[in-house]
Amino acid sequence: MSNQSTDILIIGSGPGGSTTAHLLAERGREVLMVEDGLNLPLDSCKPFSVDEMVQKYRAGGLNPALGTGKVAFVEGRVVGGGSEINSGLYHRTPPELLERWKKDFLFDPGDLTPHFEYNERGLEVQLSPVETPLASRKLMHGATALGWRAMEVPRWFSYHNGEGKRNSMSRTYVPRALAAGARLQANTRVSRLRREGSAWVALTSTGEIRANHVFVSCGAIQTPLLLRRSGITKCVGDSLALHPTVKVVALFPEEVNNETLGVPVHQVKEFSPRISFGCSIASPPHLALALSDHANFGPLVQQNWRHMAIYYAMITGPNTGTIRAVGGSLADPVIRYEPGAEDWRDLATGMRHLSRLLLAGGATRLYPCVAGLNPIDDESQLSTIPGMLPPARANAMTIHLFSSCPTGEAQQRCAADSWGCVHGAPNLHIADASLIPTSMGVNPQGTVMALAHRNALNFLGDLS
Amino acid sequence: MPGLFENTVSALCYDIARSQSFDAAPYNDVTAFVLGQWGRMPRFLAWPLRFATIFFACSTLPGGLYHRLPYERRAMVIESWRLSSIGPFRDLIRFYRSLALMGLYSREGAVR
Repeated sequence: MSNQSTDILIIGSGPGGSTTAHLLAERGREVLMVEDGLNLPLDSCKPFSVDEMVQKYRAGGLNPALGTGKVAFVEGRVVGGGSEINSGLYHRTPPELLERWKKDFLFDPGDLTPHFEYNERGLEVQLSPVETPLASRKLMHGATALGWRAMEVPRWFSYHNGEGKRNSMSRTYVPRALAAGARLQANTRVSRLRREGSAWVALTSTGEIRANHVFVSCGAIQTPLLLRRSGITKCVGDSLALHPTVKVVALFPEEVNNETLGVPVHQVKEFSPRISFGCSIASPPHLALALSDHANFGPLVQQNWRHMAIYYAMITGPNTGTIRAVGGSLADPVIRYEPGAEDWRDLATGMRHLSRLLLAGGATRLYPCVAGLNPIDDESQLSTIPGMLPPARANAMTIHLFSSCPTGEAQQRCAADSWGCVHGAPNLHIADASLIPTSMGVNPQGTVMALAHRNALNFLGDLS
Repeated sequence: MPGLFENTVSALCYDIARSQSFDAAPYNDVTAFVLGQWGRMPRFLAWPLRFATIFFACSTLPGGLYHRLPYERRAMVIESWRLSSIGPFRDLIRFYRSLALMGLYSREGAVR
């Protein structure tokens, strides 16, 4: 065991932590970044594979939020955090959300444009310069046929010789932070923080770290968990929001899938922000999993996987859940999230709209990923999807988690002030998705990084 | 030396592979993946799952422990648990089925 000290300790190396770390280090501050997971290159394994689950997902990707209808979710646990395992899709914060945050949370971030632009340059956010996958374009075909609003979503990808590579944190901001003198300590879990005088002391698996300032950037689950273990509980872990999502597998007459399909890039926003549609990873293992409630799915996947893709309907669930630590020595949080009747109705509506969209896009057969629902061959069968999905059989999941430590001046509902400083805890900051006040309806990484950039500049006194 | 839990998981993986018409045994890699994932799970879920698996293994007594039954009988047991009206029974089979499928369909040559 060893003891260390630093001016600034950043716990977590995901998009919020890495954005903060490289900015502070490049301004000459002493920065130590610690990460629970390993320091692995982006290409240490095939994306979205079982090897990635083993190497880079917390708990191997086996994390259900407990409730009547379980919602499965995944978190990254590796240097770079969620940016190493997500789809790389980028959205700026929708303006209507900013208005809502101002009113309900007394959180006015001001003009975020320069912060978006900074990260968009840093990560080369762009539309695909190469032809997008046919499975993805099928969404556009369907939307065009129905007159629905759809878009190609930009990604933080760089392209060489027609091949795209994700500009995750391990390829961008982490190396920039290290080049500017920051230190990185991987495979180090912080179990607790305690205050000593004006400093903070982090208890880690390898010893204690004393710091003048601490940024907690462990994500929407681990950040409130660490704060609660440290005795900081006010509005912490009480308002977890997420995007409950259900899936449909579509079969097309032509080949839409191949070994290099990767992440499709189109989303349909006709019913946004309440319901959004997109295309998901559709490798054979994911197809087998998605179809496993249907009869004879084995031969179906083995013979037809090139003609199949997985699509999702994602809702902006208005409900919130809780995150609690179980026992002193146990590291795992208990997460409770209970989608309400309205959510299950929205998911059913989403599944019906998505099915209609895919049929309009040329699908000849649809397989709803809900136990007990039969395949759908035409619009007349859409009525077989019930008005409310059965919670125990809906196979709901999410990859977007936020709002567990909301930011704002409304102290009765916010864990941190408008600059990410934890209320009542001087020099303790949060920089990750847990700050986002509400469910977003879009991929949150762009917002996480913009807020981290804004708050880090404010910390440095450089915010104009 | 593998115990009842490991033997049961192994038998489940082989049975799920066979139900998918896979013909590329041994599936020890799939079993190792599933057991490894169990080891990575949050402990407050992993231990109840272990007990549930042992209960599943013993549910076929006095005819014999699950992994010692002939394949046809085991396939019937899996199917009855998969379609059970008892949620935790369904969840147990769903858990093993999901992981085994991920492992099986990730193998070289699993699909054409």
